[in-house]
Amino acid sequence: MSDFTTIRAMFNSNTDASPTWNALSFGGSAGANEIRWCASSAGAGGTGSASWPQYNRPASTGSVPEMWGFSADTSGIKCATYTGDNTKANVMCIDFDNLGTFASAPTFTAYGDSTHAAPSAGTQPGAQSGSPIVNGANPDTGTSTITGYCKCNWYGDDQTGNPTAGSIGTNPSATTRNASGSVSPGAAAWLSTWQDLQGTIAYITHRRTPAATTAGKMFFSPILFTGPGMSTGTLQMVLTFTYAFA
Amino acid sequence: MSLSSSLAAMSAAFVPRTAYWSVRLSTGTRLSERQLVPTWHEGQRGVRVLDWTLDLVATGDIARVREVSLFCPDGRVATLDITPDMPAFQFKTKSLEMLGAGALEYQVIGRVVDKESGRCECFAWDYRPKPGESHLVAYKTSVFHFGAWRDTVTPLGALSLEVQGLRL
Repeated sequence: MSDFTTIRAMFNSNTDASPTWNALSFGGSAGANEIRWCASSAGAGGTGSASWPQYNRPASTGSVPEMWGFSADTSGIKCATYTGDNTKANVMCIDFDNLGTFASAPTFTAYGDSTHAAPSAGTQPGAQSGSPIVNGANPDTGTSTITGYCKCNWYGDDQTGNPTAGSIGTNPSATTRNASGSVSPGAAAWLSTWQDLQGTIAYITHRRTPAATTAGKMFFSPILFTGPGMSTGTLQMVLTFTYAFA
Repeated sequence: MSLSSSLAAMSAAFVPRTAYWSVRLSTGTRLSERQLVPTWHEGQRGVRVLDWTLDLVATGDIARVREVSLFCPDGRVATLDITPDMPAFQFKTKSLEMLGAGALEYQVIGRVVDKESGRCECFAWDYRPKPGESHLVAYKTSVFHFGAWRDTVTPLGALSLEVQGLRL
C-alpha cells in the first residue's frame, strides 16, 4: 500500500533528553486534537476549548510561553519542552508508519483555516480565523517583509530515535524569517535560522524523501509570537503537513 | 495483510468520488489502481489495491508502459502516450491539518518530456480547486522542482525518482 495508515503529530510531555511522545491525530474538531497556547501557568488539562484562558495582547512583541496538546476537548497535557524559545530540541514530531511510501519530501506550513487561502502578509485581521497569526503585522513581524507570527524549526533527518537535546538554531524574534518560499535543513541538522509559517509564502520542506515503507519521525519545534499589532479573537491557525504518495 | 486492511483495500478500489490511474502496457495488458492484488502475509490470505511502486516499478513493468490515463470522478479520462524517452509517473498528495480536517489535494499523471531538465507534462485531478477553476488541470513543470498551479498548496519540490521508477 502506498499511502499510510497512521500519520500523526506528537508532542513531548517529559524532558528534552528523555522525551515522552503524546499522540494527536490530525483533523482536530470540537476541541480534540488541538494545540493550544497560553500564559505561564494559565493552562489546565481539564479545560475545554471554549473555556481556554485568553492571552492578553502584550505591549511589545514576544512569544506565548506555554503550549498544550489536547487529545480530547478536556484531556490535555502540557508540552514540557515548549519554552517559547530555541532552547529545546524535542518538542514536537510527525510520526508515520511503515505501510506507506512518500513520493517526495513533505512540506509543513500554516494557513488561516482549512480553505488554505493564500495569506495576505500584514493584513489584520484578515479573512480567516487564523489570519491574524499567519498574515503577521507591520511592524510587529517586519516592515518591508512582513512575516507570520508562528515560527518553526525542523530537523533534517527522519528517524526513529530522538535528536540530540539542546538548543536549535539562533533564537528567533517576531520578525525572523529564514527565506521566502521553501527552506530545508541540512543532514542531521536543524535550520540555523528559524522559518516563519505563512502559507505558500514561507514554509518548510523536509530535506529528503523518506525511505519507502519505513516508519519514522520528523521533528519540529513551533513558537507562537504575538504583539500589539495582532488582532484579537479566537485565533485558529491550521498547521498543515502536506505529502505525496504513489 | 489483516482482514481489516483487506476490507479497506476493497473499499478503496470502489470509491466513486476519487480519481484513479490506469496504464496500458506494450503487451496490451491494462492495469489500474482499482484492481485488487492477492496477498499472503503471515499465513493469512488477503488483498490490496494494485500499487504503482510495488506492481509496476518493482516488477519492471514500468518500462513497458505505453499509455497512462487518469480516470476522473466526473467521468472524463485524461491520457498521455508514453515512450522510453518520455517515461510516466503518477502520485497523489494529501494535506493533514491540526485544527482542521485532512483531505486529498490532487492526483497527478505525467510524463517526462526532457530527461535532462526534468521538464514534464501532467494532468491532475484537483480535489480542492480555487472557486471558478476546473478540477481537471493540464500542467507543465519539472520532476526536479514540481510546482503548484494554485497558491493554496505548497509546491512539492523534487519527486522521488526511485518511487516513480524514473531513470533520467
